[in-house]
Amino acid sequence: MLKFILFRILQAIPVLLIVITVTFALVHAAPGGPFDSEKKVSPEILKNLNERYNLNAPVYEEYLDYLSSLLQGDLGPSFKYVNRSVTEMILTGLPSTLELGLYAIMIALMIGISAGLLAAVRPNTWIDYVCMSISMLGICLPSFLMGPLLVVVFGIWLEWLPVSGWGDSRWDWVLPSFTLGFAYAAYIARLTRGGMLEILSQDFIRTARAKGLSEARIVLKHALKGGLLPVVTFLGPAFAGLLSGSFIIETIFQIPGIGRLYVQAAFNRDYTMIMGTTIFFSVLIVVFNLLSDIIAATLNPRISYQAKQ
Amino acid sequence: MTVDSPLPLHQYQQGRSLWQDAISRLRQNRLAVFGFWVVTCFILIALFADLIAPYSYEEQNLDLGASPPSSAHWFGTDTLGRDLFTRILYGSRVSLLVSFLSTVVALTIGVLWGTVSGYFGGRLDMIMMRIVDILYALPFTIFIILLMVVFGRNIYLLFITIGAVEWLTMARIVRSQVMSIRNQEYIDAVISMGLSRPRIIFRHILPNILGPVIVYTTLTIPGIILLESFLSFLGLGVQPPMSSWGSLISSGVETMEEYPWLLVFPSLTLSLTLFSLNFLGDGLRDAIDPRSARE
Amino acid sequence: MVFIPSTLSRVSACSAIILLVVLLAGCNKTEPESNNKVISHQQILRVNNGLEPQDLDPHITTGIPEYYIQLSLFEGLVSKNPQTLEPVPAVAESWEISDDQTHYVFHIRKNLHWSNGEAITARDVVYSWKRLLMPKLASEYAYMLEAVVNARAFNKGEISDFTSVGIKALDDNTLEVTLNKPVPYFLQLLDHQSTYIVPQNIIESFGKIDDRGTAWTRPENIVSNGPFRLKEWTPNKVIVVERNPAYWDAAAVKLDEIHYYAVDNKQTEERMYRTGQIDMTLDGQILTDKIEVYQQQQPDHIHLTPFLGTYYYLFNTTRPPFDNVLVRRAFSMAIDRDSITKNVVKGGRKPATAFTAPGITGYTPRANIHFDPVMAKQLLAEAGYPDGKGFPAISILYNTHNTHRNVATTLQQMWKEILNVNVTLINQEWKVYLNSRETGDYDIARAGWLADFADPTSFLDMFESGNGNNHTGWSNPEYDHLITLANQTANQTERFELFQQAEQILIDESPVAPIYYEMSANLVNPRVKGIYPNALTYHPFKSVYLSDD
Repeated sequence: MLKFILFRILQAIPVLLIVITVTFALVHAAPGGPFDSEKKVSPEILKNLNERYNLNAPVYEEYLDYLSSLLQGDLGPSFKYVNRSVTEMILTGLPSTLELGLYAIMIALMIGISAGLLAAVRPNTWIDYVCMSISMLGICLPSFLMGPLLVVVFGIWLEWLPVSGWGDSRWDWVLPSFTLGFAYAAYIARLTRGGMLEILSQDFIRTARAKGLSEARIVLKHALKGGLLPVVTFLGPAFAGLLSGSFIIETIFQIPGIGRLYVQAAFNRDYTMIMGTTIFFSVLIVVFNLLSDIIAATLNPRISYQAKQ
Repeated sequence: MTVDSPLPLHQYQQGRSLWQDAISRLRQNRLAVFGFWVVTCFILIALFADLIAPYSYEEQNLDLGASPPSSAHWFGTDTLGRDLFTRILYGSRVSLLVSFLSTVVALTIGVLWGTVSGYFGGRLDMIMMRIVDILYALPFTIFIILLMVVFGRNIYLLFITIGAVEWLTMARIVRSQVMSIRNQEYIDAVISMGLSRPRIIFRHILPNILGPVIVYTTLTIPGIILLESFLSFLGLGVQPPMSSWGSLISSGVETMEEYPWLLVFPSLTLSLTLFSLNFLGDGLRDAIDPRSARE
Repeated sequence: MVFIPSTLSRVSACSAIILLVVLLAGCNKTEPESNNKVISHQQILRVNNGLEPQDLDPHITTGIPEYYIQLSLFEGLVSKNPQTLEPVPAVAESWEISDDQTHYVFHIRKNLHWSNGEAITARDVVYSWKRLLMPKLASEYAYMLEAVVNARAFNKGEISDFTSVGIKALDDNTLEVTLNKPVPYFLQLLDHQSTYIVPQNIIESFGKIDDRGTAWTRPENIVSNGPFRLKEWTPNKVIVVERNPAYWDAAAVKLDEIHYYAVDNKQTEERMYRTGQIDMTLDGQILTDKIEVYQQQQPDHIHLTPFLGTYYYLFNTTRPPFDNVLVRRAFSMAIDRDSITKNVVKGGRKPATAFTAPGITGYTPRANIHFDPVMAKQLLAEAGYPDGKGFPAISILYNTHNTHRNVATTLQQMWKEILNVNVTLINQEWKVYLNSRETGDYDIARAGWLADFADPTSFLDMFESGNGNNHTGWSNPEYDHLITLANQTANQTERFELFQQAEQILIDESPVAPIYYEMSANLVNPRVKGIYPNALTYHPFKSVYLSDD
């Protein structure tokens, strides 16, 4: 087990290196530079700006410079937010994004697993249809629609909850967390239902039934473990995606998180910020995929670590 | 259900009758049948949009502006006075085509990748999965902007881009399913029988993971339809005045309080389609899996 | 091992616990310190500034959101009366201008202090302007002082001795500025953020004079001379400024605090306004459809102000078919501007018949191009495309935005109906669009221009040959000559006449098709007093206050 984890962590090094290199190339090849704007900057000023940010040097030199400062833990200054470093911006945005992601995933798991279980236990009955239809809503109503919809209903018509903000009032976490959670709840519900049906039809469940065990015991004690396998596989990338993909929610609800930084950096051509946030998310993806593989292996003894080496 | 064979192996030795069985099971599932007809209906609408549509999708009536549903305009008109019903009809073309083709791309790559990786395991699996990690991590927006510069703006790039994004999670799901089946006893049994690898994979492994694959596929389609509207934002994909469901909804959201019909009708259309697709998907999944519990 | 409860009820209990944890976690957050009663008592103004500022250094930033904050934090030699836009004394309490308008003497206010209590003298002004002109600082607005003797050479690095530049402190309270040529709008430039004064001690304790992006603008470090000082800066969320007791006119300042929010989503902004989370918007870009609703339901909440900006289309004159002036005029005359302003962009925007927007005292362009479908068809026929026959495939380039898309689709339709030509649309992401426009990779492109100050030169300079902002490829020696001449003329009447002639050439040759004049649309709560509409959307908060009357 430990060997497996260490081996995977070692594998992360080339993954990150490739991500950094490819992103660096993409960023520099994309049309439009960080200093382009409606009013054109004079050539002399542009030259000085490029010099200031080390953009006049040949690209490979710039790349090596970047790598060497990266090794010292320095993600460089942001091109857009002139007096801030990329590290600082990421660190200020991180708590809100993490908090939002955590609430959302808890809500998603709660709604998703309950709905999926109920549906799987009584497949093709009205319970199944109701559970699945409600969870479908989360998929059919994308967050850019669900968010404003919840805001208009709960924030403006009913005046129960604030329409935006984060950490400013007691209840401002509710709408964004539910908006983000709903979308994932739908996926989790369907994956749970599928996984559970798969397991419930297997021989060992038949045996358990033949032994006369109660249905609740069968479902929760014997089936749940294997039935949640697809959910766990999904959760790894989903949580990483949840953190980077909370951009829309962060924009609708004005949450000062890193989702916004990540997306806006691309539009601003803020080279160092793009690199910094991408590296940050790559680490997240590597870590969460590893975690989900470990949990999947724990849940399903049939996947052995040996099989992977 | 009558089919109750203890070993999955046996099912596929009498495959033909099983497929027929599956179809008859699907026919008994009312929701799936309903879903099938709705989806077929939308495909027909998309094909014959120009015959059905009462107006042209680009015809403006600036003096009319945004008007609520009426006898002349069943779903009302948008802010430029264009008939919303017509725009939804035409929008189905792009949205359905994109979801179909992108899904094909994502399915093909994702299933192949996941199967190979999960079946062979070892070093190959490691390299293949790390490639997936890398692709997950690359900044998507910049990537697309660059793709457009290199390949220009064309609709094929749109399918490939969306497919190329969507296959990653598919590959991971397929891989973990394949790994779990790969280690079951009956696979050891067929291996010991000396069957060729492609035969094992296509006859004995892939059919057994169809369920999760179908479920996940129906789950990705909504994302694909909406991703299309984001790609239009970057300039890839449909250009105005042509419409798509994603773009109708995202502009409908902006005026949801002033002109609610601009949001309600496209969303209802999209939801109806997605619900139907999912009912159909679930039905298919249940139908091809004879073991599925139907007490 | 994963914990597995044995009954369904335990599952729901578990869910309930998770929910409880979530709720509690939410409860730990701080309560809002603000409710409406406290605000009216404390005079806290909450505005949406639209974007997270890049920095607060007035020599570095170029954006409007940054400017609004700098307007509260800093002050230049002069400032403007928000009602008339006339220059009024600020750091300088008075000034003299020589008859040939090239020699200025400013008398700096005595007893002037930075927010940390240190005295401000004429040398601070010299230092600030030297910093603006430092080549390595690479200030994009260094050209604001280019009329000053030797300033340009110093900024380009051709000379390194600042004493040869025409900016001199004669004593603590006297500043002398010498210009190369008369600049009738020079005083206006002294209220531009780039000519604000900055604290030497603070800047140099965090870096050299020409270092960009040092920590001197952080809340814990910054020192300023304006009516407010910086209290808090939470990125992507809020900037709080508070009353500056060291300000020379502190008695006139009525607000205790201003909270600048960085809400970039326009729907969210409007909802925050509606539910009372903000008192006003600042960037003048509330959604068109909302403008109509407010006009009908709460007209006293909306401020519509024409301002110095023009929305226009540019033609690529370097390649066919738009290298032909007849084609350009035909396209421009086939634009039904009234219909566009009335039905598409709305919000009281006015059709543009020339390039320079109205609002400059003494200058209303005589040149005029307007909707004339018959003439448009005739011109296109003269150009060799009768009824659009044989017209090549062309496209409109625009950056992705609802307004631009709607205008482009409408024009596409108009040109189809009137000229019978097929136009396709290309939308691009902002930076890609800028790149295509600059490299001339377009047929027709949309653009917008906002004036930096109220003078025709701010509009017309850009079409001089070789100007970096002229992306049309159009060049006309007579036009260049008129602009150069105008910029050397001191007499305002003669000068404006030269601009009139130049603008006539511009409109006759039509490298651009003006479409409408910009309008600033803000939501302002009637409780906010002292906001005046003006053509520069100049809204200093110095004398703004909140009152329920």
